[in-house]
Amino acid sequence: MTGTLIAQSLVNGVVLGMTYVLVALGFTLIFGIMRMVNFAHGEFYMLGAFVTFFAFAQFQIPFIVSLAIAAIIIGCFGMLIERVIFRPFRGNELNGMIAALGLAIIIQNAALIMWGADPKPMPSVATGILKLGPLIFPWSRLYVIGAAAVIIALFYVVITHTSLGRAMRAVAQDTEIALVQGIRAERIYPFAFGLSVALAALAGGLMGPVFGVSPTVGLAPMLKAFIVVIIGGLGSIPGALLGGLLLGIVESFASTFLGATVSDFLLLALVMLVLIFRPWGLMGVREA
Amino acid sequence: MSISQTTEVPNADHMPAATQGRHVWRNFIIVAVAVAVVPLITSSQYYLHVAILVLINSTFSTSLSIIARTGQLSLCHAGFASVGGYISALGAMRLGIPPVFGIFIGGAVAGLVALPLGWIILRLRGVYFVLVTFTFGQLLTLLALDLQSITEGANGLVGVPPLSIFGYAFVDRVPFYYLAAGFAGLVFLFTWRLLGAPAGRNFTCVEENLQLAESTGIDTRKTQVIAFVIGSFIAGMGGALMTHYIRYISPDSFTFWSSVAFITMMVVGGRWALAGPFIGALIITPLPELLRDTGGFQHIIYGAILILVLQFLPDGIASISQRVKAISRRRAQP
Amino acid sequence: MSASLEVQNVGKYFGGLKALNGVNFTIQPGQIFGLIGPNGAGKTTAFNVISGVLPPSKGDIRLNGESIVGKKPSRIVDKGLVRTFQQTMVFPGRTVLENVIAGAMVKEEISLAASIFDTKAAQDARNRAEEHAWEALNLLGIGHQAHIRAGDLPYGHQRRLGVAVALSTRPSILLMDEPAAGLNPEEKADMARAITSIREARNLTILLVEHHMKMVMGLCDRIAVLNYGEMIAEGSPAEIRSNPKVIEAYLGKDDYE
Repeated sequence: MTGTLIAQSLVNGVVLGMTYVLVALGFTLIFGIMRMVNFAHGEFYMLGAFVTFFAFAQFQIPFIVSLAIAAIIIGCFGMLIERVIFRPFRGNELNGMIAALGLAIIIQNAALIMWGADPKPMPSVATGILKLGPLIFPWSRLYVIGAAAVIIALFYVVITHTSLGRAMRAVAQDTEIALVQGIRAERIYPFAFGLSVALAALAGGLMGPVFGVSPTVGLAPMLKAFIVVIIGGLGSIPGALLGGLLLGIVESFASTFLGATVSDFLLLALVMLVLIFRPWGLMGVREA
Repeated sequence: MSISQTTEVPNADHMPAATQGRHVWRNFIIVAVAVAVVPLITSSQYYLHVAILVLINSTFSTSLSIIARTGQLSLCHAGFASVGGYISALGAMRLGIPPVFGIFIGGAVAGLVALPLGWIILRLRGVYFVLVTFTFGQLLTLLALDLQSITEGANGLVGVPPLSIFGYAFVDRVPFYYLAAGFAGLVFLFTWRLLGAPAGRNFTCVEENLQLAESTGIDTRKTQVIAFVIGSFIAGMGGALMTHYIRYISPDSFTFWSSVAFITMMVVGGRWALAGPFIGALIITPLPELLRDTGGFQHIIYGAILILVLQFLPDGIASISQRVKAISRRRAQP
Repeated sequence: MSASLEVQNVGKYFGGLKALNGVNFTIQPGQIFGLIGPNGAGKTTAFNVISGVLPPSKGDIRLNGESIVGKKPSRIVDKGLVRTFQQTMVFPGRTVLENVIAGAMVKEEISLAASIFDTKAAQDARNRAEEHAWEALNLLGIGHQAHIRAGDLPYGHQRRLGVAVALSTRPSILLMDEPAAGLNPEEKADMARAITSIREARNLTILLVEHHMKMVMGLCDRIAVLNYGEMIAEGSPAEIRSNPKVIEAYLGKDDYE
């Protein structure tokens, strides 16, 4: 019985962790490249969930294709937003952050007006269970793990093996040095932002069948993304991977075995411990 | 590094301190008189309610601006208001502590929570402050939900006793209005004295140029912690006052979005002007009511105002008068 | 009497890179001491380590006989070591006078409560600070611009304001990071005169980090030369000028003006 519970918690933890990784990756990417804290990140997660829901549940488009549609639509939308709303705040982190808060209000309330406050049930993508001896794993969860792993791998390839990815990394390191190499940061920003929010949208779509879809679903994953980047190191991609999985698993075990209250306290304690003893994060780079 | 770049120059009125002091007193008295006559003009309970909210909100936005003066943006301001509200309400309901003292205790607890938090995160770059205050604020909301045996969870605390002084309970709108006005006035005067004082000037030094401030001998971290603690203390008191007015508090009373609303008031009114946060509260608080007919669009308009003000009037509405003054002064000087 | 500043075997490593290694020098009270070297020699690192911005990886730094390693920059200022910046560093939104008062207030121990209630003590402190501020402004020759916004000052004057702010904290030793950088020849001469006059007026010890050679040779009593993080020479300007190692280090560099 306990064995099953542990295995179940582990799978749930990895599912949660994978979503956190997806949300945190985009968040940390944008911070690394644009030095911007995108407080509207969770709203793009929510929009992704809605687009996936409409494509999959209303128009009966296969789930994978629905996810791709969501990523593309939200990615393009993000590029537009970057150009129209965030461009004037370049170089001013504080005002950029406040503008992102304004954007979050606008997106969330627009969604409320268009789609109402009631959660929309998304049909399950996969049914049935996988039995491994005494252990039972629902396919709906394993599906999320698999899909997230593929997305993360794709993201990794984009970042390391494409010219866009190389340009993004160069800009993240130093805009001036990038400029010397002929990379203009201004031209990279919209793509980076689009990619970042597309990742959030994919996370939202993937978690739709698990958590439901409503205009307010974005805040919780954004909170977790913040915790992940604090633990992993702000601007660090490996940090987002490690931090996300760690957080998901810790949270899953703590809430299963110790209850939600203790789990919340534990998260707070974890954040504070990291900030006290390793303030630049587990994988972050210590600033001189 | 500070989260804000130092290229932008905050508005500062460069009159000699004494003249400036007289101006502040004059304007303060004009506004105080205007505030005092409101209940004589209208007897509408609803208008009075909105006016009370404006006054209490002005203490939130003003105290937030104390923190902002050091270049930091707290996303936990409503969280500290909530701490103050719960502490004072629970003290009154469970321990029989009179709300008059409860308000101070609530503020003190909020300040005491802010102290170690600020000490830990203000070693780090400014952006961590925003991340951690957001996280901390959310966790406070979760705690209020989780600790059902104490906080009644999502149901909240119903029947919080009203504030009373020497046996006189502030239940009716008009007396409470004057109480809130007195509190808002005190917060304003305190903020004025604080920011005018050398310690307060250090706040702005830290915001304008962190590196120079440190090498001029200003302990930048300590300065930021002091501002954070003072701001959070006032937020706690404001939250307690609000709770004894509404007579109810729940995890939904002060949320992340309340913090965003306080930030909006501060930014729209003007971060660098003493009266800016008050002007912001005056304009933003009634907005949802005025725009109610727009059917859900009021929040969108709210967000749009925030972005537009940031872009076209980054120093807020208060800077309009300063701009006009600067132009007229330039004209006056040949 | 102990030396003003002793830098003892100081090293600073970034990963495998030795930005500074085994740096040793002693500055006597009242000296103007030059620390020079070609670009990338470790001057800025040395400067940041001495002023407490970066902790040294090894070695000790003593200010008037007391170790200042591990202290925060603001504490080191309290102890009497103050730096100026290479680029202009002012509080742009305040007047010139307010900038300097900000520095002068540091030495005034005044509690928050006293300053909020504007007690007699607070007023006295403010008056004293203002007096010191005027003194510093006049010493730097920018007293007539006291009520102008610092951001509106011409570049050369902003640099002098930076020195005035540092001076108003009443240091015993002043660290100047390339005070002549970015100034035109006339402004450079002004700055050199200002440095000599503040030394005389305050009997200050000054550590000058500079790669403008002419200025260093004309001003300094002693000079130390850094190259690739190592100290390659120390001596009087005449000794440094004729030192073959120094000539080699600077050979082919345009820094040697």
